[in-house]
Amino acid sequence: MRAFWKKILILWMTAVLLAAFLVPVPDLPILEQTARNLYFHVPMWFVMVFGFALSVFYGVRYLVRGRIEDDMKAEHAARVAALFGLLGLLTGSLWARFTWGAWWNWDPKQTLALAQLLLLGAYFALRGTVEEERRRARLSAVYAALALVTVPFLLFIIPRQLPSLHPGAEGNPAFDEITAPQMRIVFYASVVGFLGLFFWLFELSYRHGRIRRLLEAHRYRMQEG
Amino acid sequence: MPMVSDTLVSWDTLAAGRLAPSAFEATMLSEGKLYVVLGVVLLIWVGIVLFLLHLERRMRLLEREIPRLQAKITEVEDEAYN
Repeated sequence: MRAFWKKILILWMTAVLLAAFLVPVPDLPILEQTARNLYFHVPMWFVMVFGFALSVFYGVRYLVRGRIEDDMKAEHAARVAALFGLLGLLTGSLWARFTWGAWWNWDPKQTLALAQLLLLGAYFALRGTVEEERRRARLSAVYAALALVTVPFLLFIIPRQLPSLHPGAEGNPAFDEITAPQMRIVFYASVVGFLGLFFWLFELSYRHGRIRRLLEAHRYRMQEG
Repeated sequence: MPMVSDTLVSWDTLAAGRLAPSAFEATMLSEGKLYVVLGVVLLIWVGIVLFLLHLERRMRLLEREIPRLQAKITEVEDEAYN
């Protein structure tokens, strides 16, 4: 392993996991020990939004500079972002089952988060329909940039205007009821850790895509030649 | 059968006849057995990290082939044009 930051990340994340279980949390009714889910469920969405924005950054850079590598980075950032979004939805559902009483409540936050994931899913559907590489890169970069505009509305603004079971309707979503100073430290450390994990997965995914593209070019030219 | 405490019923049925749990067992059974979950999470984390490192190594071996492959592609193209 060449990159030093990956060793730091492994140690960092291990410390976060230990702290997430060992640091005491306030004893609240209904939530009880599940308050610790704050350290795992919420960073999924932070990372998803970050990954989506990173994908748009690469997409726009493709439109400006026209390098196909930027389009590939945009695709792989979106893929890993989608993975984290899916994990956010699933962990939220499990948490809801034992605090709100049902796996799925059609709560504004849940529903709009699902809509957000479907908008991200449409990005891959769009990519799948365009054969020509440059055209696919251009169209998907524009679509992703437009879809990103909906993120603050669907995930942050609208859910807070509606009555919701999810914490945050009255202000800060994460720290409303379960605020404890030590929890903030573990939470932000966890966000940093999961962001690091995002970059590791994104890098591996991109490197794999690069090799695959090269092999495909090789196969294609062998057939021609 | 000796019963250490109510929370230790399941432990007690597994280790029948013993009077006191070891320090390790006592820790794992405290806080509603929360530390059993921590153990499970740490095992999963170790598994994921080992697999990531394994992927890294395989990826690096593949990437070493890239210059050779790229040279081969240009070679084929040159032949096609000449």
